Amino acid sequence: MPPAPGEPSDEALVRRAQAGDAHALDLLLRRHQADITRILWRFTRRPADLDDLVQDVLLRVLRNLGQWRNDQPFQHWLRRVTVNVGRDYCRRAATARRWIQEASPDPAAPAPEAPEPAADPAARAAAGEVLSYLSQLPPNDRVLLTLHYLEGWDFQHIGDLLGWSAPVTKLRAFRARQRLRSLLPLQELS
Amino acid sequence: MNPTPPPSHWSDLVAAARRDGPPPVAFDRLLQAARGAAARPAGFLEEFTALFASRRALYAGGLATAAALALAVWQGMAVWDQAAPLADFLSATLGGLS
Repeated sequence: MPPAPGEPSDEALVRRAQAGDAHALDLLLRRHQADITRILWRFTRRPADLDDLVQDVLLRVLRNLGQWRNDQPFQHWLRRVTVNVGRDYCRRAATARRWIQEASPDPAAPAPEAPEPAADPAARAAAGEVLSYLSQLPPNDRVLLTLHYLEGWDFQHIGDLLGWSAPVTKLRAFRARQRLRSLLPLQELS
Repeated sequence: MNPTPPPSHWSDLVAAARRDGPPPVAFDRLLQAARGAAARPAGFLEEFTALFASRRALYAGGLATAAALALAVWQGMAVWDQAAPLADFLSATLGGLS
């Protein structure tokens, strides 16, 4: 979210935070909390996990803020941190899913990603369905397509956040869409 | 003869999914806890996260149990003798609770 007129820029706040101004850091993080939370919600349907992920982002920012340099917008740097937290989550989820499948889960147990009630039930149901497809993909594919379809970001931007070159990103996007298409045998990808 | 595929639903599905927003998070509380964690000895959170993530798989579907586990370990940190290896402490605590 851009600063309101008269408010200090992100970059000014970061410089103050780097100098030890805790209030500036709070202001900066609150300014971006909606962005952080929305992005991470694309990867999970569990509020408890969402809390963990948001906190992980905050912790990484607190620990690494000194490394930010003014050669890129703070929002870009923060999104990179956020996306990497999301990617780590997808990797752990993929591992856990394998274990659970091998362990013959109790059929009476609640679904691990049961959706929360929402103000817009149709949107929540659709998000749950989209996630059920995307979560079957390998972690990098899942991150790539989640951000592309649900955040509307282009592949180049996503690749930049994940540290991939343009050709690598293009190839990964092509293969990821192929894999997704195989999960949707009677549907089309746009 | 191949069956006629149904019309594409993917675009509609994604468009609807984009409208879904996150539930409210207690951002200030999370920030406060993150500040506390950042002030803890280096390596604590990495150790905790790794161990907890591995244990958490055992509690899939039992969110309340997992949350209670995290809280118990967090509270247990108050009695951690920092001379002892952190991984040993966390492993013992998690083992005792599972």
